[in-house]
Amino acid sequence: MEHFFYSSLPEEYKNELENIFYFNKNQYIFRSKIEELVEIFGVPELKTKNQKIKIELAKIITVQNLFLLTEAPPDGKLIAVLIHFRNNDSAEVIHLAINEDFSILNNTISSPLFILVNKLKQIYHQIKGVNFINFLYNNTKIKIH
Amino acid sequence: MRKSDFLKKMHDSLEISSVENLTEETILKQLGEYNSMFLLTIIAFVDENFEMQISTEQLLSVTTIRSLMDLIGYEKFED
Repeated sequence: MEHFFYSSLPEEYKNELENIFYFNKNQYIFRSKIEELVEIFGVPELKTKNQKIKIELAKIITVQNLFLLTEAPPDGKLIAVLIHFRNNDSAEVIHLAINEDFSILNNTISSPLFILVNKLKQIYHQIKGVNFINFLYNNTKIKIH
Repeated sequence: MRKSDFLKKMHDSLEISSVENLTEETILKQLGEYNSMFLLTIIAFVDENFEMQISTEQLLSVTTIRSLMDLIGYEKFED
């Protein structure tokens, strides 16, 4: 199965992104940690620029978005979004949201989380000095190299 | 590492609350915490404690704690 990654999305995806990111039933699992991260990094806000949308955080300007789609826009369905930034020797994942429709894949090799982790490894592998990915929801550290 | 220490350390590090103790026979998929984030945590746990990187593909073939220990190398554990 081919995967499609983007760092921003056409604004037509606004509702889909809002549903996955702000109204995700699975977020209760990490609720207290998410609240803590919102305190530290600010409330995630959806911003539109040049007809593209991204999620930004008020207290940190260097965050990046990684979107996973089933196919290229406009037909692709949004599977997952991950918000990350570089912090010295680690890639910090601040927020993560996976479309509930794809949760059936969660424990398979097609798990959106595994796909995103592998993509993030690829991205940061090319950046000197970044050694691991740190998921701030539960402080899980995954080596990149 | 002693088997009992491994089981306790894994139970504590992975913050497992759905069962009181882990045994070699514990089936991972039956744990309440089982999801893809939990599997990532196991990858990190094995790396941190055994300096061994296991892939998601390898981990998905693991069924019980014993099969995870086999993947790590059962000879590395003492009674």
